[in-house]
Amino acid sequence: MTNRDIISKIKTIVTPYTQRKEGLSEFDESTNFLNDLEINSANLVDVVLDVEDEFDIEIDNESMEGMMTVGDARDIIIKKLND
Amino acid sequence: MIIGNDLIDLEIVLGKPRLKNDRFLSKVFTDSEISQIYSQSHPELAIWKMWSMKETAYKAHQRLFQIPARLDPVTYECDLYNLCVIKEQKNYSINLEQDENHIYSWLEFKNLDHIKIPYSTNYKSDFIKEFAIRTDLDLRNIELRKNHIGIPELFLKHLGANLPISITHHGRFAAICFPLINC
Repeated sequence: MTNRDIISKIKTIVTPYTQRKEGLSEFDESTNFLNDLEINSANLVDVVLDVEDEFDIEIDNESMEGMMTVGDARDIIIKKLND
Repeated sequence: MIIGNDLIDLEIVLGKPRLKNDRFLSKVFTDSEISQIYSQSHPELAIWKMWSMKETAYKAHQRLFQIPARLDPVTYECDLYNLCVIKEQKNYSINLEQDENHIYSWLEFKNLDHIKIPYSTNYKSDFIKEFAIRTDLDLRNIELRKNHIGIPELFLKHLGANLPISITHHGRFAAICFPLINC
């Protein structure tokens, strides 16, 4: 799976939880879930669960702690896929 | 000073039950917190009371130690009976109010004021207008800012001072709390 595939899957996952839809038009690895997309923090836990389902991985609480941007999520996904 | 608040629109959260979602619960709550939830007469409501308390403590802790945003709810140990949250030996006392529409929680502190308004896309300027009325300040002297890690404060231009504020919004509602000041 390429970097682009992963980022595009992340975008699909976060779209229903995104309150600031403009944030989706400039979606890249620097996009911050809380500030740029205004996803509320309870929904950010839902994002983590959806990422686990989509990529068939388990994200431990320590990894979840730092999942603030698309790039953070991508890095965690790649690490878990290679574990 | 430290400050923190959080608001939950119950129509939204109770529309998506979480009690049977073990994976969600284990990402947010410790085993002992999950036992507390199950011991309540309305466990779904207890989930959100505890979430709200954790968020409030998180905001206070983040401001106190100037910590960048994190998603670490499980590290905030919530006690629903004693209305407190413990994070790294710090004990945060929380006030909680609830009706059929919402939960509102805030860090216990003397001399706080709260502004609650309906949520709209202009909610931040609505807050500032109401703040100006309550404090009898000129609207032009008030500016909402965020510091380098995203923590909000009101800059009072004529005083050259920052007032710590905590902002929350969810669904139909928005609220801020701030210390009472003499301007």
